[in-house]
Amino acid sequence: MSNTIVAAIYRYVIDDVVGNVQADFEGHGVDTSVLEELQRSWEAKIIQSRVADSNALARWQALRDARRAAALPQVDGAEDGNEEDRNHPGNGLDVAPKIELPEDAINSDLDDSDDEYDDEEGEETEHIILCQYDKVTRSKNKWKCVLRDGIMLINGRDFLFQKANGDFEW
Amino acid sequence: MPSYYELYRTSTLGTALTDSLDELIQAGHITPQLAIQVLEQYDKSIAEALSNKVKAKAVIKGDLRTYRFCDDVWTFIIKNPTFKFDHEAATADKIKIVACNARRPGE
Repeated sequence: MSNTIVAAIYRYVIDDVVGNVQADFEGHGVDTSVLEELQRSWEAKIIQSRVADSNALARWQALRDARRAAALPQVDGAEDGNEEDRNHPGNGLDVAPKIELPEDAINSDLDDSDDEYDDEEGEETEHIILCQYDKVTRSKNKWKCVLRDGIMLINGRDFLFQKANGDFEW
Repeated sequence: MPSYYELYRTSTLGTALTDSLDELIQAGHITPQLAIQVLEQYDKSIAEALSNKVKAKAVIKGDLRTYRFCDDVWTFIIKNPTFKFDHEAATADKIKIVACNARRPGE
């Protein structure tokens, strides 16, 4: 269940980051098209990683790109509520839909495949939990951990939790 | 201004962002300084999203193989872990847990 909300949370985080660094980009004199490229590239990597509901992410990316492409030629910036776009980009299972953005000079970078979970040396495992702890206690060989705000990568899928209890035996 | 953990940069979402930023730096489109500002915003956005938007609970069980407490960070290696979520379960051969203190210094 928690995996199904991953796409929505990731979408929220990506939008939040992009929205909040806009001023930083302007402050550095960097064109907005570069920020758009960053967003596209970031999303494409998540879709390729397939840790979340890639279909949902790809649909949302295609929809946003279609909006953006439609908004570009007319400078009056009309909101074009073309909701029917939601219906046909359903082919984005494995590959990010290729809708071209103007000035998209480094689009080829999107095709890089990421093999970042291949290292299996020693402690390194492809299954990992990044989180915060409220409490870690031990009684004899029994450990109890109260964890929160976690991202788990298990078997190639991401899970998120607000709270997790860990019961471990040493 | 509160600071946020950089812990989540090594997640799927964080590494994807870092890779994308690296590509933009390589291409000369942005400076490393701007990339750092983006990553700091990411630290804040992901921390707030996890704490405010995620409601899922989980139970993790397994054999504790290695534990370490260093610089206020717990690291556990769990053998044969089982995971229970609200509506599903999962298993793995081994998992690493990296946990920072939920109470940050100065809070």
